[in-house]
Amino acid sequence: MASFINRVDPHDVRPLYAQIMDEVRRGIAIGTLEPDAALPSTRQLARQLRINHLTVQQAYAELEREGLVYFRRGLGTFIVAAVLAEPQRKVLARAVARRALRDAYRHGLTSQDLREAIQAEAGRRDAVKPPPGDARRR
Amino acid sequence: MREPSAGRVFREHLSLVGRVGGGELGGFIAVAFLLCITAAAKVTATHSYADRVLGVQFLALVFAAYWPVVVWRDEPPRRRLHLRSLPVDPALAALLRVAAGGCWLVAALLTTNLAAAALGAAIGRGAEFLAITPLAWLAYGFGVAIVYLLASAAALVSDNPVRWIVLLMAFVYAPPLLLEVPSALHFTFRFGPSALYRGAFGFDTATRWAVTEAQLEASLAGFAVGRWLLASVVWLAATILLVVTAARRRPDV
Amino acid sequence: MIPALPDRLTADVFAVLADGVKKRFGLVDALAGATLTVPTGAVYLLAGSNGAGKTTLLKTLIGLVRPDAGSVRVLEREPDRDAVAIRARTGFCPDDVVHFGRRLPLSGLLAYHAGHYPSWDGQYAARLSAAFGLSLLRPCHTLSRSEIRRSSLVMALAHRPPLLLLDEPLAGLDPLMRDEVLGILSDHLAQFETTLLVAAHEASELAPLVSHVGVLRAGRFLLQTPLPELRESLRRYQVQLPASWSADPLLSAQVLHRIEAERELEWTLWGDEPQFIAAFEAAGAAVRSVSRLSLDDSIRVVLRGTRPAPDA
Repeated sequence: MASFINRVDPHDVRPLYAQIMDEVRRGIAIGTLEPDAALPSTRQLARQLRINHLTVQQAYAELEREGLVYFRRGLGTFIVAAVLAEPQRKVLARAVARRALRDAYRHGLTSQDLREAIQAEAGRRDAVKPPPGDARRR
Repeated sequence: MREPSAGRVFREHLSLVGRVGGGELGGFIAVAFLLCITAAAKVTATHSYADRVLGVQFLALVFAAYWPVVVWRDEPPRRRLHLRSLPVDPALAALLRVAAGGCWLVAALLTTNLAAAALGAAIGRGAEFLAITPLAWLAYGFGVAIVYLLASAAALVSDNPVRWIVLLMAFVYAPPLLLEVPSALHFTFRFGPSALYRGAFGFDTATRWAVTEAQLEASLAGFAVGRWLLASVVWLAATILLVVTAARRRPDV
Repeated sequence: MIPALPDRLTADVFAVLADGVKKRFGLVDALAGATLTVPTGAVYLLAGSNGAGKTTLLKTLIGLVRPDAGSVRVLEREPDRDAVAIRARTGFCPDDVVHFGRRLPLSGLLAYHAGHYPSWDGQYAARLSAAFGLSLLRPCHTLSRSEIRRSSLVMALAHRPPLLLLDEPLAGLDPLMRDEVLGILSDHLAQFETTLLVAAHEASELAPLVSHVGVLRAGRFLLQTPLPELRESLRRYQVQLPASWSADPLLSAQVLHRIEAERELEWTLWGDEPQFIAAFEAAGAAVRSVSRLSLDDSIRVVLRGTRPAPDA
């Protein structure tokens, strides 16, 4: 059974519950997780990912705290109806930027170096292929 | 309630022994019955059917000695890991296994004897078989029990019990066989190496049997039946104690 | 000399509490004062190299091995007095391969086990056997090592014990079967309230299930900590050094693992990140990156202690 997340990476910097949360955000951002969409049960997702069910519980609880999902007793966890893609995109973008800046500094680069490099890379990519997702923006 | 009752555990051991040893049990019953048939065929004026049939019990004694090897197949003392991580006291489990093996042995012997009786009835010699006195049966029972328990003790303690069992059977049978082959099947051991073997409380005394009380008395060569009974009981008690001690040994894994 | 790491856990209730356990086999100290603390409900990874004493420690918990010294309490009972009660509430999957029964099919072996556990769930056992790809009609003596291990797992899980002791449960299993076992363990933990104690020297696949870690070396614990604390406390610092650099001896003494070149070093440290960064910067160095370690790497680092890298 396919779900919004197919695997977790134990070597990733982010803890497992954060990876799950980011995948939910990603799903909302690109539109694959629509309002009132059902998420897999804690037990199902834990089994599929081969992780501790408490980790999934933690992720879902945090998502509920952030107002992205709601619980229906006996039925499961669902994406909130009024969820918007845009804020989630912003959150994900900041996280990606943070990781990139950390990596840049490790290589002795400044944030200015990185900014210029991103603009150059993005320009090159946009020239080859226009960015997807415009049609699915809300 | 998470601990199994002793009765439940015993049932498991019964099932296990039945599965693991079914072949040998069947084989023994078949061979014993075949011997009964040959006994029936050779019935003469001097040797009765019952007499011959009891000769078959020689096989029973050998089987009783070998049976623990089957009961404990693939489970030498150090490799009863399954037993030792199961929720049952290891010593108790060992004793229950010995008891389960004993139950199957008794069942097999009952079967062979019932078959022998049926065969006797079929050839018109049923009455002879029924004339075997209870005391004779008791003697037979003691003999089988003592040999089975001694062999079980060997299996409980040794990685290779077969050599101990062979030794046991040699101790039981070599002297008379060497000296009086034909009469070996009549179990009248006239010679014994020592008091341990031959005296009132001797091993030989405890493991003999005969067709009638009179024959038993005759073979006891002077001892009263009561004394013999006491000796048998003492031997049985001693072997039970030996088995219990053997069951309590616990090699550190 | 390894820096002091937290070597025991605190909790309200312990499923397992072994204090100062010692055991000697011949001339070898298998356990040299091991203090094992497993909180109830934990998924505890017992890590350490082969021969560190993991198996011996597990065996003392169910009374298969009698310690020479120390106390052991499992599920509020002591193994030298209540071993039967402990075993009735424990699912044990041993590491050694024991062949059993030339005339016995696997179903017979499972039935024999089932009879000893009143709480045995036959349907669950059947589902587990199917999931693990076990053919129940095969005679026991023809089973491969992998099949024996899988059937041991079924026997440990099927009676839904409150305590599971698994000794290298994934050893010898092919990758697909390892995934299956992990999925089933995850599901089992979600369904039944269980304390799981897994002994393994490879942690990577088990890491997502684990809540607590203990590292054993030469029969003693170097570390016992909740996994989040391990993740938060252990860091690898890549530091760019100034021309004249002298290491703060206090800082240097806390290094678990060091790789040093002329102008750059990589130190793995346990403790407060901001404090360490401040210490580096105070000494004139620039911290280029601070990274977390995977569980396997963490265990490796703790086991190695402060053995310095050979000169470049």
